[in-house]
Amino acid sequence: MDGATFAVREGSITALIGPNGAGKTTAFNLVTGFVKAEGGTVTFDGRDISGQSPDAIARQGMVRTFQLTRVLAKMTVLENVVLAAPAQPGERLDTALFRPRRWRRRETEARQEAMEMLGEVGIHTHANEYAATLSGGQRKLLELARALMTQPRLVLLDEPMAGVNPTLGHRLLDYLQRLREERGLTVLFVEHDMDVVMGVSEEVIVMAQGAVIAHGTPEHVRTDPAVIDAYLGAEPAIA
Amino acid sequence: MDPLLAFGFWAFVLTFAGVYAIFVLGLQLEVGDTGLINFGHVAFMAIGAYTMGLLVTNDVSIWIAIPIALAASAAGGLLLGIPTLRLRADYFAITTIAAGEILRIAIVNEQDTTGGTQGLRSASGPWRDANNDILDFFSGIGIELDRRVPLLVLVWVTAVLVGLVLVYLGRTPWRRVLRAVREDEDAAAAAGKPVFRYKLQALALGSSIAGLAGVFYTLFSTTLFPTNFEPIFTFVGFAILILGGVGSYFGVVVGSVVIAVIVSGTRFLDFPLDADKVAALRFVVIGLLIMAIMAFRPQGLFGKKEELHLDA
Amino acid sequence: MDELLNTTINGLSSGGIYALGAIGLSLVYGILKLVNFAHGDFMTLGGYVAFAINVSAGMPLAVAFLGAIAAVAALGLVLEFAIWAPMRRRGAGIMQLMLLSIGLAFVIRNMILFEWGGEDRGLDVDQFQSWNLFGDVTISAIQVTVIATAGVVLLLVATMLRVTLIGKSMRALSDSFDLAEVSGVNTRRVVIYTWLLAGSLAGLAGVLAAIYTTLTPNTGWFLLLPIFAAVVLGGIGSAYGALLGGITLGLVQEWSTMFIRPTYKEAIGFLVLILVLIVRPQGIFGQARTV
Repeated sequence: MDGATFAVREGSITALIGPNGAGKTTAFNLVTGFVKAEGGTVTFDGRDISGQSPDAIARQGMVRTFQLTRVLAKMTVLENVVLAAPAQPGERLDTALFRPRRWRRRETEARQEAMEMLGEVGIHTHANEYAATLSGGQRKLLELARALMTQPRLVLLDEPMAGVNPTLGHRLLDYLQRLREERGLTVLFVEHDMDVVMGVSEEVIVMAQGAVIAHGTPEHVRTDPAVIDAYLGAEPAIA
Repeated sequence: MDPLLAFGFWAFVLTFAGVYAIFVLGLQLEVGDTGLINFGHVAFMAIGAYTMGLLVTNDVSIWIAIPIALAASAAGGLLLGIPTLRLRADYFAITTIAAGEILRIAIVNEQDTTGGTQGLRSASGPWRDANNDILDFFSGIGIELDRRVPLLVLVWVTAVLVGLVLVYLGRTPWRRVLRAVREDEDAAAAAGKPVFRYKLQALALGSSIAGLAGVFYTLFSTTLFPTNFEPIFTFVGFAILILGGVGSYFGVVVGSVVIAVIVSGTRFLDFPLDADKVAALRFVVIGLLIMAIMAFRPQGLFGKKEELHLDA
Repeated sequence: MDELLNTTINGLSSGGIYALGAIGLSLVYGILKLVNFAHGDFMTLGGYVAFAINVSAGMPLAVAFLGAIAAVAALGLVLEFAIWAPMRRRGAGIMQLMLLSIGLAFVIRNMILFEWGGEDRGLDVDQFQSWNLFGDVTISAIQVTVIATAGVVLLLVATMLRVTLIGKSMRALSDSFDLAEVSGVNTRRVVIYTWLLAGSLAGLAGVLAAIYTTLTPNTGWFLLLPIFAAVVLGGIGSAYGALLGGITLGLVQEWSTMFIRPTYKEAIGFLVLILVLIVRPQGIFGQARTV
């Protein structure tokens, strides 16, 4: 990273793009606490969260998915999502041992919510299979379901559509937009498919070589000479 | 062969198996559920055993000594875990042996307190009295028990209770988090689970269970020696874990009995060999057993193949 | 000052043995991803083979050295073909291999116990010959043997690793197996040489340990933990690191006896190990890897 600075507007759907090696995943890692930053600050909803652990940041409502999917392979698909249900008192040792009624209730709720979530992302038929049996694209969907299950405020999706068929992809984008309207969800996603970027995002942030080189509407960014330069230098030009 | 003698011998073997079962139940929680490779587990058993022994030889009642011993073992687990649980799995494994050995060396050296290599004597004194009371009670109602029976029953009742509690816990959200931590710490963190805190809980609970095994060990032995708490004890525990199946509590019980029988039971078979050599052969068999299981059936007797995380 | 020199002599002796054991362990881990818990028992075997040659058969010590080295090197190779290679082909992971090696350690150790019994043994060396260098500083003939042998061999190994093609290949594979394999290193050959080297050094270390301390079936097993400490101290996967880690550990252990009770000196080694893992897990010479 090289002095990258950017802000994501609450309630927006923002795309983070840039040629390979621009530092997009690194930015995600730094912001969500998976990698320690050498300098700089991260502010979420007005609070400084720099240096906090990744699980603490996730609990505050900023949740990310991984570019190379990290699913819990030897647990079932359903368990992967139920795990992420917030406010499950049975996760405390004392409640788990001594107050079965409290957590059993929440558990039933969570399972229902999880099944609905799996339905939205289209993999509910695999609910009781081990996550290891899913294909690459299905794992992306599982991670998305897991991330959304935590009821986040801001979700950072690292190449969420990779390996997912276009029809399903469109459905997911609609779902995200619905969540934005119903729950005020903010979405920041890394994507290489320019149709998706241009079609869905309201704002686009462009990174190259560890720094932010442009930030604006899709139209603005598409014609920005610095952006074209960065892409021509690294990849075939965007249409 | 005198039947009573044989019974007494088997009572001894099975009691030892029961102590091992409790020990490995704690290990299963750490290794099988949470993915913490703890090669120093015996150190927490030593803490439980010596705490119990020291308190009891200083006239503290058994009923007070036991909870203190358990708390001490749990505290030991926390003390080890806080600086080391952030390490990678294999580095953590090495620190656990190192920590265990430091403890054992300290026990050997601090002879004034612990008796050093001469051992801590008479730690089972108060238990012997309680044992006699129990035997007298049963005698009074017309049942003659072999003097080893009360402890045997007590150990196994405890082992089964601990096992049942762990199986029950196995179905709770708490354990689901542990399994997630075992599978992929980053994914668990991304789902908002405080990974470090859970590892610490597993280690503390597992250590106090080892401490419980230590308490029974003290009741079981006339003298406590530091050589009883060498790393080899943990490695035999791993043999039981692997045999029974990583992830299966029932397997722990079965594995403990099998290994205890192999280690002690072959005493009755007549080999044209000298006793020491037979002893050595027994461990050769155990070693070959471990190798065979790891090579051909790594999930052990009762583990689930799909859940095998040993191929990390 | 005299005490410093005496403890330094002691430290170089035990450190030399640690270093010889550590190099093999480190290379095997780096190249084959095997945490070999049987490595200590390889050393013990070396000691007993030397015993069989030197004491039981009455042959000179030099022959015993060579016999031990050859025997353990051969064993290492046999095990590679019989166990490790087939397991790797079946996709066995680190944990599985490690637990397998624990089983193997049990087997080797107890077969030694079976064959030779548990009593203390020694080789046919003069235990008492020693020289007073100056002041209170003494060095025994045994220590001279250990330090000289270890020193020469370690120097040869270090040179080999640096200068020869096979040595460079070993280091390359230890650093990154896939990268080295792709750049055309003959991995099969390197693996064979690694076991030959690891086995030889372990056998040699075992004989030196038999000379320096008493020989029992547990000798190597007791040395294994300090050797692990040496490997970690020097940086896992780095052969030079293991070498220097071994010597450093030996010195630190012996020097500590100037300040604390000598019976605690092994604990010092373990304490150093824990501290290194917490503060600088990659060891002195390792590369900081992203965790």
